[in-house]
Amino acid sequence: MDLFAPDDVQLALRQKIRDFAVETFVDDRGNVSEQDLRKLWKSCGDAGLLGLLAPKSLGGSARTIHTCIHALEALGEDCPENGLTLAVNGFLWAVCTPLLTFASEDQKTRYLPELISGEKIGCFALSEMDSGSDALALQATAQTTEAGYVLNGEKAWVGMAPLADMAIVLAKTDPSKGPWGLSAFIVERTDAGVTFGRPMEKTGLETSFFGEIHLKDCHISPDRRLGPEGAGQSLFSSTMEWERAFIFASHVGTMARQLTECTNHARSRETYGKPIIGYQSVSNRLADMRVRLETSRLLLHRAAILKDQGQTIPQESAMNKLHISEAFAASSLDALRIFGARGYLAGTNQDQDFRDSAGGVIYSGTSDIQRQIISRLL
Amino acid sequence: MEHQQSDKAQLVPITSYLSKSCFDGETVDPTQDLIMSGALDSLAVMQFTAFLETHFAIKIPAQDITIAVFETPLTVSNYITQRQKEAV
Repeated sequence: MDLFAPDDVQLALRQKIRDFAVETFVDDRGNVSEQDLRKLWKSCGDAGLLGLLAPKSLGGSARTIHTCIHALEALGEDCPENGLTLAVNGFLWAVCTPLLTFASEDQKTRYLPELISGEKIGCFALSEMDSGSDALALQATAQTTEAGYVLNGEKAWVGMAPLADMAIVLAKTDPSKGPWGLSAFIVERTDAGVTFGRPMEKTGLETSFFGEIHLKDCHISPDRRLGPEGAGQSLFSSTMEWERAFIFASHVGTMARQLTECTNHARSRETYGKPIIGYQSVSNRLADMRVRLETSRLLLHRAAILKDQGQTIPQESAMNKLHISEAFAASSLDALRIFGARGYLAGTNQDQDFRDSAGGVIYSGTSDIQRQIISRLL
Repeated sequence: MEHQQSDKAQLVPITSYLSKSCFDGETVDPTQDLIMSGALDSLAVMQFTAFLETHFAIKIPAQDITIAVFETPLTVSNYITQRQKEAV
């Protein structure tokens, strides 16, 4: 029995997203240009993926969190571009949710419709070269001026920054108050004093460009502050809760696709005169992959239902991030072993998933950090 | 006078929670600075907020989690009083 089986509306949405993914994503790995990615991003907007959370008045579809999770999981099942699905999830949980929670009505109207349609791209600029795990030890500053604020600092590892038209930037407004002296701001690509860097080369996730944002005497008006002054820590906590709980929604779909591919391969590939699924060392791996998929789905969907009930879920969120990222990495390695040399060839799903999944145990807070959070909240 | 008594009664669970959860059982004064002590880091403030929401049956929007509200037990108490009045 599937406790979180989709209802009719969710089922129809899942099918729509799967059809979209099959039609849209061709196997073009390693050759995605900025222009291609922008085009794919717009197609995600046209398919309604970027507006799942936003109200209809802003161009969204105002889905429940659980319905949103069904859609994102379905995307992962048929979109082989794990980088792009990560970017879509990153937008929903780390750009859309802080805007919906902290933005003024004017800010929502100004930014969300174009972000949701995919015409423009947003990013969440928190990390810096020396403040990854200790995220709130960031050094970027926002000094008050007569005309608003002047921002200085260097942001790093920002997902989709190289293509972004706007960024949510965390900076210190009162350095004497530690994390309570942080505030959030909206910076636009066209602002004087901001530079969005080129894509950083990395091991996997090629269709999610990571990059730096350089702020040098970047003057912005007071209406660019996101939420009250000093609410940066709260915005960080709120955003991380959403992100860590759900950013792997599509990767859970990918794990379902992996299991199907591996099962089919193990049934058809023969050695010593019989299918390799008949060997316990192979079937054990498939069993482990099945258990990882199931436990990941259970955590993911349970968290979605808790959020739909309005609950705060910091521990569940950290458990989701820890478990699903580790499960995806472990199952990707198992898939590689099951496919053997075939899976090690560049461009195969196994090679791609293996490289993509490695990043998952690092971004959005490493597994070590998630364990610290979980144990602190016992 | 009644209002002052109500606030004082409201302060007890706040200072008790903070004493137990953030100050290793030490007595917490209503005007004690919670920010500079470092007692309320990002996780502690989430737990404290969850306690306040449950104990006082109020909802604390994320935008309100600022130093102005969480500076001392007294500012927290005043905020709760204000939220309760708004809810009536």
